[in-house]
Amino acid sequence: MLYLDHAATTPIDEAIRAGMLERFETRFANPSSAHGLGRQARKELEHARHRIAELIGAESGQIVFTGGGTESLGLAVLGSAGDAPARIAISSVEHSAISESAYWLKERLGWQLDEMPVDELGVLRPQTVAQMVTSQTRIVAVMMVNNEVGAINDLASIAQIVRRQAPRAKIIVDAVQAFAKLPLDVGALDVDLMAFTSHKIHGPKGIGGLWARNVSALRPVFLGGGQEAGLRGGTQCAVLAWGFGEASDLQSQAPKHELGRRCFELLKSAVPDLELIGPDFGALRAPHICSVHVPGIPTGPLLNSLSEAGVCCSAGSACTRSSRQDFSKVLLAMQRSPEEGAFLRFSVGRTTVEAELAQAATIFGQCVAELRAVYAT
Amino acid sequence: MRPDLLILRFGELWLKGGNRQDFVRILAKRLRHALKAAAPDAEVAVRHDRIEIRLGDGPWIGALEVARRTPGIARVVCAHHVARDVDAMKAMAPRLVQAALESPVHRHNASSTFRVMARRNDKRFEMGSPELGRVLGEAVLAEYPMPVDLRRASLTLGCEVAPHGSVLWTEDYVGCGGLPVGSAGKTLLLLSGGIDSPVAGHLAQRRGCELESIYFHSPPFVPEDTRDKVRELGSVLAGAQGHMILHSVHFTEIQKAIKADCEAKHTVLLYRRFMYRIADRVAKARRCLALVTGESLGQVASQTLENLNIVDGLSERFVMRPLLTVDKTEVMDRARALGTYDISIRPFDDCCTLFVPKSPTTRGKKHILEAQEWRLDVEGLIDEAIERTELIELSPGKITP
Repeated sequence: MLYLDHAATTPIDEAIRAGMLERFETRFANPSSAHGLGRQARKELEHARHRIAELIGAESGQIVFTGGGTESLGLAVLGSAGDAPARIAISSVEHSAISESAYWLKERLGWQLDEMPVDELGVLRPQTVAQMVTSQTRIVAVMMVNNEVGAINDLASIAQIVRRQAPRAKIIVDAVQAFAKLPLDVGALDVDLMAFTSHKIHGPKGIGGLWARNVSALRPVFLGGGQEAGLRGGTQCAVLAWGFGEASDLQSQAPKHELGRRCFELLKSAVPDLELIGPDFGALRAPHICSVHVPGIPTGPLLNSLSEAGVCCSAGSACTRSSRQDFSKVLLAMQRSPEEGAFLRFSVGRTTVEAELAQAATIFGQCVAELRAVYAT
Repeated sequence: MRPDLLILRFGELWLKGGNRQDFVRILAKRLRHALKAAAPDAEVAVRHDRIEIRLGDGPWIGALEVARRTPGIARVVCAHHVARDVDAMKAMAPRLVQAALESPVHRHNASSTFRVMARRNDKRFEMGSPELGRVLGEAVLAEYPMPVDLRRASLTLGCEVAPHGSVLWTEDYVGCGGLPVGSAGKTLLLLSGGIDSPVAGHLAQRRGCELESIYFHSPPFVPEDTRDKVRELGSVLAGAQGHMILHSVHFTEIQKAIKADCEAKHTVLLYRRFMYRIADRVAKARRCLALVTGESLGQVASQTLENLNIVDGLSERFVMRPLLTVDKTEVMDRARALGTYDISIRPFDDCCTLFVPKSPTTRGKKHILEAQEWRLDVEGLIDEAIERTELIELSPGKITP
């Protein structure tokens, strides 16, 4: 199996898996318990929080553990929204965790929703933000790296504009695809909330994090025993937190690679008219996401034949798979249409090696050629 | 109230003459098999005019569900043992009535009406049927006064005195009816991921047909999800017969060849002609006596009378089309009752748009299609498709109580 779908999720790191299995026996206690085992679990939990905070230049007290990226983003949006309806501005290519929360505010609480269009590369231009954000805007949500095309947004410039034009707005950053992969420093970046998750960096599923500059300004979306600064009641899992902390360190220390670029080069050598979707590899693109356009054949059959041949990749984002959106919202926002051909996302991870990419490229070339023969008749 | 046994009454099986015993034997076998999973400690006993399921101490709703869904059974009675003694019956009858009145189905209200239907099969019993009925009725009405309506009461107390034991009941259910699966022989169902074909298969099963099924798969143009859906639909049908074989035919090369060499407006009919030929070959090899399809007159372009004529002669075997004259809404209702509707409507493509022409012909002509087929290596393509057929064994899906 050639797994090239790391933007959807990653296999868990071998050492983390082993460490977690061991801790499921030794660190099972409730971190809120007063006894020795509870204290040990609490220490583990807090140590993980500290490691993650350190990685992004934050204080431990600013990190809230959640169930994952979607929960972090939902808490950020719904927890920041006050009682009075106001305006929320989001980019048109946000993950459904943001867009569905924003639609909810609009439909249920009467907020005004401003969707900020992206350019043909999937980038939200600062001047677009300048046009759309007003003094009435209370929430601005922008992703750091787009999950489907890898485009990186200039958050520093966007934040500057928002502060100037909407001084009361909270800035929410979806850093799920960027966390521990790109340099992140919440001290230098003038934003308010940032969401990330463990399973995109070879950590366990079921845990994510939300950084909040001011945790006490957030309102919980459900109530419980006061854990996680009162924002996420419920028994905490020290084992998952340990796995997440470990994964963050391992990912941030891993040598930076150019495998995304290499992936595109190899695929293009197999299919010369292949087009890279989104910005070129470099400062404006996340190095692990290689989205491509194959002219002349539809996405479904190509995805199926790759899957049959053992190559795992995605059409757009894996998250929208079951919601029967036939064509990616992100690609639509980039003015692309399904009639143009197939759109696939290959994404690499820490365990990917170049030989796999070469093998996948050969299979890719064969599948494309076979389908083109059928669709040409 | 938990019954002691289920009494399963035959429908038209009762009308069968000399070979009724064969039918009953098949029915008992089906029940035993299905009960293994649903109610492991239930026991099946064959009597001359009925089958009884003696319930053990384990869960029994599964047994009731099996009894109600098994073709060949007209009614299912939830019976309670009672001593062969009028006083014992008089004591028990009000308790059963009380439980029935409190059950969510009846809910005692002002309009509840009541009757007793007593039957004395054991002539040595001290009381005749009418008198027994009257005595039990009095015992119940003394505690729960209700208007009596002997024709159509909302609550009926049943009583049967037989040499091998006496029973009382208030609950009985309509069964599936029809004939035991397998009593008519084996047939091959053309199964797709749609709404119709599982219902057609179920109706054939209800007339005694055991099913194998055949599905035409076109990877990569149709996702594997679609085949999974077909498997799941097949598993529902497998419930009535213990297990079912699904022949998954590799149909891609045939579709490719037809698309490449034949005129677009004829392609759908040509696919169907190939499907019929392949199904007939598989049916012959598997000793299936007929094909079963979900075709319904006029539902789509390929199911006009003209176009049904075009496929009809291709099978040596008889083709059963149980839904031919049934309205779509009725088919959908049946699919819901069968439990296949929600599976069928899952949004996976069952045919790639690539292979479907914009305006398929509704009035195909046999000689034109035959001319189109001259361009193809029909036998070679069929051989290859059959060669690449996968045989998948399906087990029953879970029976939900």
